[in-house]
Amino acid sequence: MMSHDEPLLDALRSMWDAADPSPPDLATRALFRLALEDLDVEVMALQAELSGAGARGPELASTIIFESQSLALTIMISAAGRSRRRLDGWITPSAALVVRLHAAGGILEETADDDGRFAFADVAEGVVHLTVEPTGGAALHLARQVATPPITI
Amino acid sequence: MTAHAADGSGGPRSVTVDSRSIWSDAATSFTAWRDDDDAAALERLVRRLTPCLWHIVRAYGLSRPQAEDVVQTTWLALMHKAATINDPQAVGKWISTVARREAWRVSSDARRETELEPATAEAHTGAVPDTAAQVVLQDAERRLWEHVGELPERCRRLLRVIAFDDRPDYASLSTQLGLPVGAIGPTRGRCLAKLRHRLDADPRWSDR
Repeated sequence: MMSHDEPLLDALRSMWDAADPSPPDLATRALFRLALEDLDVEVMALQAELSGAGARGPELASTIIFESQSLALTIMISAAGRSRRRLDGWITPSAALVVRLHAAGGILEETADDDGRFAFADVAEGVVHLTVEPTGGAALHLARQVATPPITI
Repeated sequence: MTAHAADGSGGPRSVTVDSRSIWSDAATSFTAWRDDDDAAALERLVRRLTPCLWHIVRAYGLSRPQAEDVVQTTWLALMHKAATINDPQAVGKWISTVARREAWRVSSDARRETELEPATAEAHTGAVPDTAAQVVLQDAERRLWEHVGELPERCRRLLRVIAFDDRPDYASLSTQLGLPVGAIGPTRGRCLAKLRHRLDADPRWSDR
């Protein structure tokens, strides 16, 4: 590459970096996704993403639906105070499965009720992913862990 | 010379892409991860190269969600095919080639789908700053953006790939840009010359 062009190419790089920046969490989400590759998990596909007025306040809530061969997972994300989120979810077909929320700060665990409903009432915003765990006694038998791709909440 | 003006003014913004050492660092990180099981090295590699891949992929006129998917697909490909990479020194080139090939595939599919909707296609070429990203451009950046926007699409694409890629191989660029291999070098020169010409003719640019 001719060094003569470098100052102009530098200016172009700065310009594109400012005008059309890479999403700040893209690398983090890619790393989450890569970490899942190492494990024996079934990764869910994003089926739909809907936004609407939240029932809990003026802030927008969004609903995300994931699907895999074994189950579907619907998650509603709403605001729960400054930089905090509430996640309400349900599993179809309904089953009392253990659900884990993996965040930068650690892993939270809840068990869905018999209708497949669960909630994480107070979670820090950021990149997270959920796993549904094989659970003894649940109405749905899972052969292995089912995981969502990472999402930013 | 125009390029000096571009270099100095407006105060340096923190640039997420440092093109100089990025590709040689990539080789070091890749080897540490693949051959020495250093998980932190993979993280360094992904964090360092992802912004670069973003720009290369966006040069192909993909929407932001499409570009995100292509970047993720590229990293998955690296993970699955790491063992087959014979020359770790060339891993940067391997990664960017996969990204460009995948971006080209997705953009070709998208073009077929939107052929009847030129307005949609235009929205994806990055011809206007992405308002969704809520960017605030400094004066110099906005002027440069406007001038680049006036260049033919082929130039915009080629310059963005060249700015962020590590010596992209001309064979694949040739297919992707619809140019003979021998024409890439001269086209690159002509595109940069066109841009310089526009900048030199812009008093707001030259005065600074």
